[in-house]
Amino acid sequence: MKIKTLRNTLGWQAIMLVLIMLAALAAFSCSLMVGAVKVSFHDFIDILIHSNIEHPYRDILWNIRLPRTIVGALVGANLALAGLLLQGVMRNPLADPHIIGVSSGAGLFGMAILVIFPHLTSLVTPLAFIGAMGAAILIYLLSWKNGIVPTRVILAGVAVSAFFGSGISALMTFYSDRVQGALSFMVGGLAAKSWPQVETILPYSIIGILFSLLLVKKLNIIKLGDSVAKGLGMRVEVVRLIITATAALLAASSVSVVGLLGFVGLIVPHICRLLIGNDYRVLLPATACLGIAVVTISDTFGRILFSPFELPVGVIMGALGGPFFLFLLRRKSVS
Amino acid sequence: MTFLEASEITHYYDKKCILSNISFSFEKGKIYSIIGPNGCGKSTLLKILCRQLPPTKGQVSLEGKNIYKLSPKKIAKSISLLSQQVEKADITVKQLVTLGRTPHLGIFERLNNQDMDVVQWAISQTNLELLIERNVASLSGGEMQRVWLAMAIAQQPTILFLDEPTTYLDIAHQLELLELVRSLNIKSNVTIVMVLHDINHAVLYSDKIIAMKDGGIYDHGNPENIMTSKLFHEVFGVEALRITDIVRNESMYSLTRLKK
Repeated sequence: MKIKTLRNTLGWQAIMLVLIMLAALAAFSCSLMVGAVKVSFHDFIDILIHSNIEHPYRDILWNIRLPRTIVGALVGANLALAGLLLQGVMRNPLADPHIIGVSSGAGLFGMAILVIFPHLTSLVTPLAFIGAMGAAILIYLLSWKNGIVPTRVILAGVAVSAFFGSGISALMTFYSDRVQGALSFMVGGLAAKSWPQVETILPYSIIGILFSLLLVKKLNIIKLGDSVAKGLGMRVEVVRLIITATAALLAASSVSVVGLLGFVGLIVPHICRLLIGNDYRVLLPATACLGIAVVTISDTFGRILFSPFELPVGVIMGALGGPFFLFLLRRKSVS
Repeated sequence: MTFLEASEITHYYDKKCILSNISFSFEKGKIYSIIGPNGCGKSTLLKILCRQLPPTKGQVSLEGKNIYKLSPKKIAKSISLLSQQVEKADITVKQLVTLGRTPHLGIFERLNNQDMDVVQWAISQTNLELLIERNVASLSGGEMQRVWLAMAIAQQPTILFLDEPTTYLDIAHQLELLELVRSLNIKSNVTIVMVLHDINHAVLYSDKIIAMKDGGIYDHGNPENIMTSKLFHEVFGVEALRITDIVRNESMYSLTRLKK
């Protein structure tokens, strides 16, 4: 009870937000410095700040680690926000884009373009967005009964996820010769991500993050229930659609770059809710920053844990996320 | 003077007729209570009147304008609702009451001093001064109900709707809430429309009573006039004995179930 009261004070929230931002910064830097080649802090400053072109590690840092870390950071922020938005709008704490099939929808459509029309790469993200949106709408239709029923969201989501997942498997079987790095796509990995992937994800991330920031007030009201939101003059159905579309865009942009990376959207928003409370004005930026921290640090661990082998970041997230999911389930059923 | 008008409202739910052809005019500044047995459609009627649920047929107009054609934001400045089941929101009391100002703000507009004065007024009307920094989820049922009422009146509505506001409260808190509602009506001339289960409360606290049965209005009028033994028989299936408290000059009813 005491923590709950404390959590709602402005000072506490500000301190937590700053701490989470610092964590994101630290994880980002750590991901740049640590790996097969260790870059000292001195070299790091030399290359990035003083842009020393002759430095021997410049290529490693500039063309391998930096773009990979940026992709990781954006994917982390996007997936965490997508999870936060979906949980808010579906009124279910377990709604994560991966678990409820939004990512699978994006994956199926994105992959279909990649293997059937490989020359149309610029269409991957827009089509992934359509797939993600389709999956989200399907979940609504399946779980809607005089308003959204939170328990049915997860059940409908599992069905939707299985449906689109089977589509992905079918594609992989038919076009096995064209699917490169299928495993990396299925678990979500950051290996070999470089500047082109940054270019793919960055514009969608900016749009998605800007939209989520604009939705903060609406999220604070919609969490009080549809009836209250309506009473306060909100067009609930329209707002719900906009929030879902934003979440779908964020998830789709991540999926089209790193594949089906799960659990980020589940773990991160929850930790933030525990740390900072339920006010979206601070919860939303905190979630984005913690998403950056969690994905970049997990990827760093993936790279160094079994070096020279590299674990895809999705494996780490799955290993952390599975138990966490169960923990949340238990916590819910107890309260 | 007609203020809020329901005309020829019919509502179906899954092909089942909940309300049939209801027309009624509400006057400004009065307290209305809708009573009736379970399943008579009283809550549905309330939801339709406060723009929560578009009726299958018919329309509701506020000062001559169809409320379902006006923008939700505009309506939220004149109508507010206290629902039967209130959420255990994880938010401070003050923040929640402040959200009541939402319909009065533009998209990028911030709260000004006038808004804060209204919030302060709503808080003092509902006696919440000592609780403003508390988390709503940590309050008792009675306190929580007062917080949501404070939010509803921070909207500065001309009509306040209450859907069985006393259901989850003990008797002292029930009376406290109803007295609060009455004082709002008297001091701020807010029109009140509420669904009540307790007939004695309805008689004590309303200017007009609307008795419903099987999706229609059975009778309506002043409490003294319409609460006849025929109404008790036909609407509620009970026998009523009228008792007059000569000290307070109030009537109340002692009820027993009709033997079939």
